[in-house]
Amino acid sequence: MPLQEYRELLHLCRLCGNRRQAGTTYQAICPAGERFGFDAYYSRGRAIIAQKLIDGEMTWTDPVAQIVYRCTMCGGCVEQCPVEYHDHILNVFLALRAECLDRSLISPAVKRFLETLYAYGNPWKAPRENRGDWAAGTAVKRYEPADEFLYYVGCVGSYDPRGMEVARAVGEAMLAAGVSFGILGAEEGCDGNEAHLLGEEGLFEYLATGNIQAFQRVGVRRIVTLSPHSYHVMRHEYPRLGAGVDVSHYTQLLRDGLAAGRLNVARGYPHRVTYHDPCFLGRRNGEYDAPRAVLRSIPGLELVEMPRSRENSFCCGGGAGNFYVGALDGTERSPERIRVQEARQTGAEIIAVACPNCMTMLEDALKVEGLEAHVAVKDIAEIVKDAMPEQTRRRIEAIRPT
Amino acid sequence: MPDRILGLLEEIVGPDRVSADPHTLACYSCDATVNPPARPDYVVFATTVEQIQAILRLADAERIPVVPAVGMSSTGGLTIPVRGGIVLDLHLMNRIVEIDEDVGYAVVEPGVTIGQIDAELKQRGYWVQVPAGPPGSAGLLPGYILHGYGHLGAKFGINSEQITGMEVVLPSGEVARLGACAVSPYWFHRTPLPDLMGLFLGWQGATGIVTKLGVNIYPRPSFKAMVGWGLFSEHDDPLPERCARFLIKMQRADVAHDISGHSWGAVQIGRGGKWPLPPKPAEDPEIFFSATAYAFTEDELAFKKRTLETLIEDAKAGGLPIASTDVTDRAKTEMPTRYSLRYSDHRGGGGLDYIGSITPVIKWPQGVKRLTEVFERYRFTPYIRLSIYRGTAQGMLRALVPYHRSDSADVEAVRKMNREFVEVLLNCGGLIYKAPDFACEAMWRRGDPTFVTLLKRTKQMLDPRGIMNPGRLGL
Repeated sequence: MPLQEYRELLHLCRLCGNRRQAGTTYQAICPAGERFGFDAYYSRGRAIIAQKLIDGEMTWTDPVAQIVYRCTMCGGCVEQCPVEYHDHILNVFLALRAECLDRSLISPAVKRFLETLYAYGNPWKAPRENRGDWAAGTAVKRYEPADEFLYYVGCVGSYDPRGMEVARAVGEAMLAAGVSFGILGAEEGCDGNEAHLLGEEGLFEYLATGNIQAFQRVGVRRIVTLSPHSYHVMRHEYPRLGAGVDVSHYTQLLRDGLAAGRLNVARGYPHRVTYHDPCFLGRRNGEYDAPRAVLRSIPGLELVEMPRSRENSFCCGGGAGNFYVGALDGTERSPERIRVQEARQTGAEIIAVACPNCMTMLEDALKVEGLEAHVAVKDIAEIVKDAMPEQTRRRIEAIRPT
Repeated sequence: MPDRILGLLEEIVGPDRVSADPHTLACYSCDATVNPPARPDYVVFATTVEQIQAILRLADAERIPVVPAVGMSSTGGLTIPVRGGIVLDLHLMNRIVEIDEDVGYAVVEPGVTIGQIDAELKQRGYWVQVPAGPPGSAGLLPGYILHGYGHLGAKFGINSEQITGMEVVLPSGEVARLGACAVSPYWFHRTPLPDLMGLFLGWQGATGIVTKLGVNIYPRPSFKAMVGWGLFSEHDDPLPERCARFLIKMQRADVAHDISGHSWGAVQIGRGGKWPLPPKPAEDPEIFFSATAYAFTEDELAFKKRTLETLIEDAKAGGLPIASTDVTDRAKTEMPTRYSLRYSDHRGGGGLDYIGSITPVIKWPQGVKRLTEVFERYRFTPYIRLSIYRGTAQGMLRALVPYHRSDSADVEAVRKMNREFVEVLLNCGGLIYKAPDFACEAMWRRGDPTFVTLLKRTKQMLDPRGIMNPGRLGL
């Protein structure tokens, strides 16, 4: 909906202070607010700016665009808003971004990102035919109509070296759990989530439609995603473009596999672990329990919560394209650096994640904060793999192609 | 041309902590009230007392207005910089400096929120008088130094009565400690030294910046009970005088931590009722009251609840037009809460304005009747709140108006209503708290001229160049 049409709805905002803190723990929750401090970066300030832009009391300029794009769309403010405005907050943010794009008011970093995505179909400028390279040497195979799930990996899992490791771990954990799945390889395209959240609706539709056509060509009915970002966009945005698929996140399948006794983690994982909720799995989609259920199923693993968790979790700073354009980076108040310090204070040796974007954001922050010797970041699938008995690992390796 | 003041501010707090960007400034120009917006020239974050000292010295030398702000949830236009200048945003100064359980106080910085201190004290088995109106993410300190009311007012009085000490930066840049902490390492009490804290309480930031505040803490009871009753109108009196006398009797029984009332309209809005509300059914009470009691043991709670219920039963038996009401849902409500703002959804326009007073309870019948007449004349649902405070039989009587911010007729009506509310409350012998400028002027017109002269002299003494939150207090 164009920004102009939010004129009345913006008046639902009570201009209160709730957006700054989590409603049950009263700790800071807005990553952009923590990074920059000024009210303009909280949802209250954004509502005022949007209203004044609509009313012509403020002009569209580069500083407006900077404020608009310095947000991860993590939904922290939505969670805290006690009035009906919470239904509209993120849509207002999206409408602001779309208007910035229409007016060519985007930062060079955002512009480069979107142009690269359009030209190459991924932010790495990598060939599409390399998309399935991560699966080389594993037993993960191409999707066939008889498979129950399509394993959608996404750009980070396909091209980022650390993301590829995670993609492999997820694939092998699902194999061990007996999940029937395959991948699209070079036929997979970018999920378009970041383009959508940066306001580039045309590019999003182009990318999403490509994927939907690929799904339809091979008869995909159910999808399991590596990334919560793919999970989110395929659940909430793909249906309006004609995708009739059921979408799961891989932690949900691992949880089911463990509950059914199909996944053996008897070797255990004797470490203190804290779990970082990815915003696009947790707050944006309400899935807080599946990842925790997986971790709690592992013998020897001690799960400790950070003060900010579940609906009050604190974003790593990588949402809504910021993983690529880094609009919140640069100081000790950057969200990812705040978050690893918070994890460190729990005494955990491991920060468990369920999102390849969070993985990179937090790993990089550990390096900057000098915490690498004390804490490591692991994907839940990697922890599951480490907890598998030798014979299970050998079983997976035995079905690898030679 | 470079902005010289901006450069000087950047030297004090760093370039990331100050902004003169018009879009950023716009966010500090308004609140949810009908007060006209006004944009500051700069927004500055201070994180240390030394930075505040330097900012005030600069502002004093350059005669730049300074308006302190914390949670940006203020109503009453108190943080709107009516004469521009610097909005000094203190929300990053959010340390709980000290909690002394043995002596019984906590020391907080201005950015410590109501929810933050409550959560910390809860873990320790303590609590503090929590301001009842604002959300938990509002600052504790502003609600205390502005004489706000709390949800334990029948037991602990007005919030500012709980202050045990303060540190304040004067417009000159000097730092002063007031109360016991001026001499002692403990922030335990305002007495027995001459009490200078009054120079900064109720002054709306017009005399200095409070940078630390000592407040009483108390052991937190585990048990809670509420009893509710509705008052019916009698001879067109929404609050009959004999019912007001019953409220005083209940207060003097000294078992409830809170005794509060909401007009019928306020209750419907709290329950999610949309504008316009239907007419009040005849069988509904005019005002819903509740008394909340806390206790450390079940026996103590049972005694308190029985005492309150007996008072209600005796009043009914004595012919008072009251009836018991169910408050089960409200008994579950935790304080602080972020759900104190549901009125925004009632009118749909996000606006809220109010005029609040401290008024003798015996004058509440007159006040409620006249406030109701004002609401009805302007075709707004009467939204009236009442709370009895500790001590003499007085308490909060306030009229709130949810309105639509973009409806100019609404805005104009609320401005007129506010002025009429002020006159109604002053006619009841009330005093306006967190008073907007026009309300202060109305009080001073009726007040002792020497009192007003003394206010002006005090302001002149502390803030000779008039930099601190100018345009406030009708001075």
